[in-house]
Amino acid sequence: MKHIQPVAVKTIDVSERAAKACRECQTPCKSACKTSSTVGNQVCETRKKPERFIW
Amino acid sequence: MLVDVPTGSIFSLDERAYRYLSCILADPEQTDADVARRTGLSGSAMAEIEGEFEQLIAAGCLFSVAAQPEEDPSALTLKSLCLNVAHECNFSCAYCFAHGGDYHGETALMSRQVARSAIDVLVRQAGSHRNLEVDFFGGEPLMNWDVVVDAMAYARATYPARNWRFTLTTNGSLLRDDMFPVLEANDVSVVLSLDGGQRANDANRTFSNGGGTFTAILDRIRRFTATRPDGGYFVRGTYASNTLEFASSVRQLHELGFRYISMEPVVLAADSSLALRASDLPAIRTQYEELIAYFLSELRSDQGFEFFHFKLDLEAGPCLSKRIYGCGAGAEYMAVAPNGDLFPCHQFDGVQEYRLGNVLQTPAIQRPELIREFAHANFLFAKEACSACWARFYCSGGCLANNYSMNRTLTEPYELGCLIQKERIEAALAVKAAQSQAEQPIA
Repeated sequence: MKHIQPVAVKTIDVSERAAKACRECQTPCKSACKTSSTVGNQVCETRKKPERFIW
Repeated sequence: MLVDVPTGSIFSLDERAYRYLSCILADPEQTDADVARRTGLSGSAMAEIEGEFEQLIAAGCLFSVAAQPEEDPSALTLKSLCLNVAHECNFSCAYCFAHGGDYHGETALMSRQVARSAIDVLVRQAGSHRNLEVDFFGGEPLMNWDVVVDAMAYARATYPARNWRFTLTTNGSLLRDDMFPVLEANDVSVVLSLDGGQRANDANRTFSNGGGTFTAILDRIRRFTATRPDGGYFVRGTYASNTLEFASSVRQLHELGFRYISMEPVVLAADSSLALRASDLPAIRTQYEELIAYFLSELRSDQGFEFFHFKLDLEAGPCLSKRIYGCGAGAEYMAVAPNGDLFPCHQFDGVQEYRLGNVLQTPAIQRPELIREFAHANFLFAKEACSACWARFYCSGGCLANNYSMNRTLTEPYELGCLIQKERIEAALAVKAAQSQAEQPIA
């Protein structure tokens, strides 16, 4: 494409809507925010890169 | 930049495509001749741009339509506790939501019994959750270090099948070298409060005598972060109306040698002199623009650092369920006061109308109806203002404590917070766009 460049495509998996989410991921206020909800900065527990710490 | 909200597809438009789309959206009924006249685009350029939009629409990643998810009252179960192990602090920061650490009550330290009982309650309520989180908070949690150590040991020894994740938020003043191996052995993620260079930090972060804290903590924090070159900490600042130049503060933190940095807006009632106001928004936007430029420049020169707001993982971000149930306060996440009282989150500590129970009681949850109320309030689409917001799947409905603090309701968003949040998300997406456009990928 010449005029429109994709940055990321279909980053929200809508098919998961029907599935029961595992909810093993981090609670937002465990991260560096503490005073604002920042779910967008979290990562999926099953898709994230292995990390020792929980950010 | 163009975001297709339901699918999270993000596109960067060139100037001509932006002009074309803006014109069409302003009046979808206008003729091609009108569009050509208003945009100054040639017929062939318009056809080219329109063709690209049509490809994306056909692929289902632009102007997509999604049904609103149904609310599931059973979606959230407790998995995370904030232990306010000290209702006491040796700092007296001007903007502290916890009223200098005592949460508008008596100073107190949590006992081992309360901390252990809290962990028992967490395990009982968590069902089959494997990952359980405990955050040591205050006040200043290092004023009660022995209880922090005991609680971690108790959790691991008593419930070894669970995957324990610990965090600790500290002002750094009581950090000692002998604590570092304990924090390391327990994989404790550490949030260190520091607002920037000396001027920005000491403007609001002071001892009770009014003296600045910067020189007293810098060496301690540096000694600790030096043990973690690969992460496991965030130096977290707060910006307020008198320290609005947060791009400069982040830069100073980076120049001090910190690689993992966060900077959050203060949340204070409008009558506070330190509160942010709508009139600060242009300055906040400018700060993000400056920060984006610095952040990208440092990445390109191999001096990169992590800034929490820009830490958006577009490929491995949260699932839809996570995005529509917010922070989980009061249902998935609760806070425990030193006397064992349970509150929906650390910012609700001491708000008696939302006291859920006490970890020393049986059952610990005395008011289960509050869990249902908070589970509902967490649901993104329970908040009318959020339902049509473009940022809804990034902020997920915002902070319930901020809503309560500003509006005395859980479901009416804190408006200024929303506006700042959108600036923040736009900035993060701009960073992602810049990274994706770079000829050489940026790490």
